[in-house]
Amino acid sequence: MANTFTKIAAVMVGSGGASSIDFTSIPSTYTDLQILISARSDASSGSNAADISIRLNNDSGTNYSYRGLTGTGSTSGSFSLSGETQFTYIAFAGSSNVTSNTFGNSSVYFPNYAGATNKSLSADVVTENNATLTYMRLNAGLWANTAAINRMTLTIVSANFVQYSTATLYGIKNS
Amino acid sequence: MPSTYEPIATTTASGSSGTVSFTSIPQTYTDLVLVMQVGYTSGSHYAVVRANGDADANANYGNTYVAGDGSSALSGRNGGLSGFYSSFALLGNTTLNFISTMQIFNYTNTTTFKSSLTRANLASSGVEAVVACRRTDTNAITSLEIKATSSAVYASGSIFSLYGIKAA
Repeated sequence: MANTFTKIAAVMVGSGGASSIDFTSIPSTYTDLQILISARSDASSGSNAADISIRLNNDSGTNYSYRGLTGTGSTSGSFSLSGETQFTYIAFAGSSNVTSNTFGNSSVYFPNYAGATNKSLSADVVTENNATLTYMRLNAGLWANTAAINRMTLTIVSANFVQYSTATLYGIKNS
Repeated sequence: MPSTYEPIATTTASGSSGTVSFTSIPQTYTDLVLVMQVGYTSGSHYAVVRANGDADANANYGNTYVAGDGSSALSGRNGGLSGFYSSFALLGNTTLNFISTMQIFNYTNTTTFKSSLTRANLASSGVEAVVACRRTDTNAITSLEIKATSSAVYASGSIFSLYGIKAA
């Protein structure tokens, strides 16, 4: 039986950093997509986590909605956003405030990404920090668009990916 | 490199049934992954995932969940359940936007109870993680039945895919 978890593309950010990571021409030949991200940003202000945003198919319409459950090590909470122009807070990178050489990790799963329905996602994201305050988040997202996902653009809110940040896109076939 | 993540079977609902079954699950993997994109023809419901022909009256599953509804976080624990759940605090609805991924670990061993870890999502309602255990017996899991609660019917286009993962 064929292996069904296949790498489509992978990016490692070079020494100059990068303002975005862009996966283009994603084939429609799989059933599901999963992107795994290990990232750190050059954000120097604010919290220990920098938010990674994902835009699909370069669609900047108000078609993105999502809910999240967040834990910090001492508190928990939930949030919801709708009418967004991208999944702005869907994944985490460590900020420059956290322990050196420590990266945030994110796993984002898109089932039935090439089907005729709106596209849902499931995201599990964490930052790590050798201190009491860190973040984990579970996200549920919906892109109100029936097009097959053919492009995925990752950016960090008001910051850049630093060197050695990685993002790998996998395709999964159910047959 | 050996293949380690393989499709076992997939079913797409036609809109006439509230039960999906995977039988004769191969015993050649280490873990199972069940991916569901589910809607119902009417109402809001769960899907109960039962192993090895467990009946409605079987009450040997328990779970603990944490969930967020967009404004607050909640957590709870339950016993006396009749199956693993696709979610517990979060209900699917008539859209096909509810998604759930369930991992069932070490399903072929015959010495331990079987446990699962589930992530469920419906962007319009909430997000949830559930851990669950089947305390019925220590038999290997050879079949799974995914049954909608309250005699609900899966909407046409609901997709259920079962994968196997090999540790070696």
